Amino acid sequence: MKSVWKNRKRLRAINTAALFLTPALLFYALFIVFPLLQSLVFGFFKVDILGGEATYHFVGLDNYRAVIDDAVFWQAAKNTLVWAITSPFLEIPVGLLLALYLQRGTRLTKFMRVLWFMPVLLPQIVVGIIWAWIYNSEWGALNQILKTIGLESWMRAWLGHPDTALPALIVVTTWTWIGFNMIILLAAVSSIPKDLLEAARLDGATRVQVLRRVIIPLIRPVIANLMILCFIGKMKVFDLIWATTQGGPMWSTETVATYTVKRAFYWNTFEKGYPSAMATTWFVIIMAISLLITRAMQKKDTLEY
Amino acid sequence: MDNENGFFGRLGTRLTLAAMVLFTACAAAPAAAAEKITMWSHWADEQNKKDFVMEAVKRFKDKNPGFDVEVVWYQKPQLITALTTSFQAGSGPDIFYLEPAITGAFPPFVDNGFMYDIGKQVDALIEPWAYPFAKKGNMTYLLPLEAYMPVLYYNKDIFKRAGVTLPADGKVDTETFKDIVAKTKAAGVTPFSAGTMDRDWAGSLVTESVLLRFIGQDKWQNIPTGKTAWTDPDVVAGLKYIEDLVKAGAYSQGVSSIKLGESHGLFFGGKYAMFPMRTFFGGRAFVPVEKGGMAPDFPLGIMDFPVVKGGKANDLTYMQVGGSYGVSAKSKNPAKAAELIALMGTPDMAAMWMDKVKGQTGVKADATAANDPYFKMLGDATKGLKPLPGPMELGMDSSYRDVFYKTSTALVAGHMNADAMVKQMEEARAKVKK
Amino acid sequence: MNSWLRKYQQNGGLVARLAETLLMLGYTLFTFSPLAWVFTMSLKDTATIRNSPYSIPLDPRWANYTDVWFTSNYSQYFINSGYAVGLAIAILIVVGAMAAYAFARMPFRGSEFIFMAIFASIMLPAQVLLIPLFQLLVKYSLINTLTGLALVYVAVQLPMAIYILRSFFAQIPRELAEAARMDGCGEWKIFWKIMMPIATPAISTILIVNFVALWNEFIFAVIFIQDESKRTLPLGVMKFVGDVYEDLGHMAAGLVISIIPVLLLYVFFSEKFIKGMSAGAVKG
Repeated sequence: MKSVWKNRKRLRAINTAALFLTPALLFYALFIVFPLLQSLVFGFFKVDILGGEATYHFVGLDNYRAVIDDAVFWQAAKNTLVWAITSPFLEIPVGLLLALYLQRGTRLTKFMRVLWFMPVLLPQIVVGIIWAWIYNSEWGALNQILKTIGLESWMRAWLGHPDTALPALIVVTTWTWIGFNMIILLAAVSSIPKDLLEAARLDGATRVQVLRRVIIPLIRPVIANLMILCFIGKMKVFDLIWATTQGGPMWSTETVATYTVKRAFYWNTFEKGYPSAMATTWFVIIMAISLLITRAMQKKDTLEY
Repeated sequence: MDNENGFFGRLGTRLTLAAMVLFTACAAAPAAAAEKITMWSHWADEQNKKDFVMEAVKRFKDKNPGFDVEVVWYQKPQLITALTTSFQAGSGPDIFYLEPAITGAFPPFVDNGFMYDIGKQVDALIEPWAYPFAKKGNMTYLLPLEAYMPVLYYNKDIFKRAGVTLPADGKVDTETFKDIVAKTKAAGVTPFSAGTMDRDWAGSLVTESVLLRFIGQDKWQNIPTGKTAWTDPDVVAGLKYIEDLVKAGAYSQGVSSIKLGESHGLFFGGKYAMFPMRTFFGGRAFVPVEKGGMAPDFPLGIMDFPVVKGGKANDLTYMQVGGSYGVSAKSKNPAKAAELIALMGTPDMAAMWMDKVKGQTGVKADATAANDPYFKMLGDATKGLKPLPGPMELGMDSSYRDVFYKTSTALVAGHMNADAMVKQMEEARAKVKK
Repeated sequence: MNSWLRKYQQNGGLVARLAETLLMLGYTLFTFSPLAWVFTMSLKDTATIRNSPYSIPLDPRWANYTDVWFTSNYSQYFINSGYAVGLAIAILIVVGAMAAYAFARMPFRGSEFIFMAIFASIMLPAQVLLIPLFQLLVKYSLINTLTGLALVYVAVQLPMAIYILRSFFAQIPRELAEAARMDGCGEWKIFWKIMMPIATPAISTILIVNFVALWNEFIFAVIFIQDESKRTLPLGVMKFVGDVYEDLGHMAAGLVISIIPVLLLYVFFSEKFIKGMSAGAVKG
């Protein structure tokens, strides 16, 4: 008798769980899993649109081989990774310094906090247009400032030269996201018990030492989280490039995002197999990198799911 | 209810949501009984061309009172994306701006069966030389409204200041041209205004016209097919000439970050001596100054590209069809849409095009433009020139063309020298199926 | 007095303090001046901007704003964005909370694995899904609809929402649910009447984070929406900028119009915004 009741209870539990989970699982399957699989499969075909109907033509590994040969794809991948790897080292340290300053909690700092967080809320399209004006070689603010302070030789076409275009855009994403990192680090730093900091200072530690020996170790999980978030975020950059350089000059700001969109929707053919192969290849690369990072983090025992 | 969330709490969201659903329901309610023709077009920022199109729309509406016409204006890159995505999604406008498939400047909608044959309505209106651009097989798929060729606009006042005098027939040879560049540079201005940020072909304008004169018709027309090698001594000589111009400071450092519209404005502003541009120049020049146009008293001059001493192609240039209109195969009113397009191509409308826009056209026009000073100047500058179908990259496959545009831009921006460009173009040429 | 002196000494003396203040002022300028500059641009006309781009407009051209508002389609863009974002967030909260509650309170063999699988999709950049999602929306006639766009938004934002809500639900004492069950409440009722109201802070977080993210979303919108009448705000801004191309004054005014609503909301609710966005990434 008891076992029947227990089994019925268990069944009911599973049923309820299923009921609660189904909508989310539906979304996941329809919009994530199925498209991923489709991307993989399309990569083995030449997919063309003729008169509104799609035609499929099996080509085996041809598309994937073409991706490996595609110099633009690898340049785009490199640019994306450069962006994703350098950004955490720019955004997080500055964010931390600002957070430490804001921790004072004065009215002035409260005002600064509101101000410094603003860029996070703006659409990257608008941010791109504004910064394109700043970087304008003829009348842009940056060159004008350089001229005024006597550094005329430093004036250049920031978005027009392959060597400076990508760094210029990285500055823009840094400008946008420092505030986000700052806010989170502020919350993290604020949660450190004040006595610990007091004790350290009373022991004669300088501010730098307090930072290195007390604060950073205690907020390391948060920093790790932020680094991952930052990395993932920069892999997705698209709007900014679309509104400014469109991937130029000489593919120096081309990312996998912009190149995929161009090949799929802005190229001279409607063929979808090749960009699908590209997307799948990129997916594999991202998965590999994420696994590596997760493995590295787990070794340090600082991240837990 | 939940007040802690402030306005955007659950209640606020639900209200907003309900309001939006209501609004969408109302918006989706059946529209008025009038039939509608939708048109998507480029030229969002070229007022005189917009005026021209709207005049045709007006004439159409007068003739067809039961029809409404909705025109949406775009910038070309956004137009391309919108057309590509909507055609693949099975929808899209009735009429749309496009450029001939063989120029490669636009996706080949006709090759993929997206176009409706408008031959019945427009064949009689088209100039014979424009047929290759407007037809595919037996099908006429567009009205070749806008035609253009490359010329060198220049600022007469700057030339005077710099001590440049052009010979009577207006033809300068390559050495004299180099001299002009040097003189204008010495006069404190940048010789060429150019911008490639939103048009990747803009960096190749001077290069391809110069190359034509250096290598001759045969080799020039075989570049797209891949038959002409970039290591050919004539080609190299042409590229090295451009390199010399660049080294002499002919282009501004900011070439890759200037947009096409901006490059027009910079020339109108008077700090640039010359402006290599195709003759759709009129669309941006002859509009009110507040909209970015050229001042009516601007000292405009037009000249041809330099000729090569002893060259075989000094009387050659190219002509191309640009902005055109076609009808979608999925249109619900294709015949009526074609009628609207045909209205753009009547001889008097074509004459209006030339007059308003100061541009050339692939449509037969009333001979009224002869007296216009601008067209007189243009005629003088291009006297005796025979146009080939162009431009140089006509018929190139997309990857090859992409490399050509990117390397041309790098060449004129000073990021690449001629030898490096030859090397990269040869690599790209190897991948072309000959 | 004593504490003030101590703080003063601990902070390294006058020079350090001065340097610090200068740096902070510098950073404020760095952060804020692009926005301030656009605002001044929006009050001038194009010729003035070209001649003196950095002057303060002594004769502000407020007409730029009315011109832009009445000749552009901004009101439509705001409505469209409101619909897409509102719908997406509403569905996201309901679906996400249900799933999160199941993960937190109804574990079964494999539920952890499923959760990780869903969470892993957080690192998928849009371009990997773009083409097949495009085909999918076309197939179900959801292409070029704000509803279709909203559904894509839900799918993309679900992992983070579930993650936040799961850890929140896990913290609610089991006794609450037990008590309700003893009273005869079904699971569904427990979820809606007890759990959801308690989860209000987490929901508030999700609402704010997603509002900011989706309001500014571009890549999916630009590919999935073609009609002018359905453009969301970021698309509208791109179109507007293309339309007025050389008219810098109007362009700047248009940019300011596009960011004013969010900035105003932020200024009034700054605490909520900041707390909301930080709660997402700090554990506990």
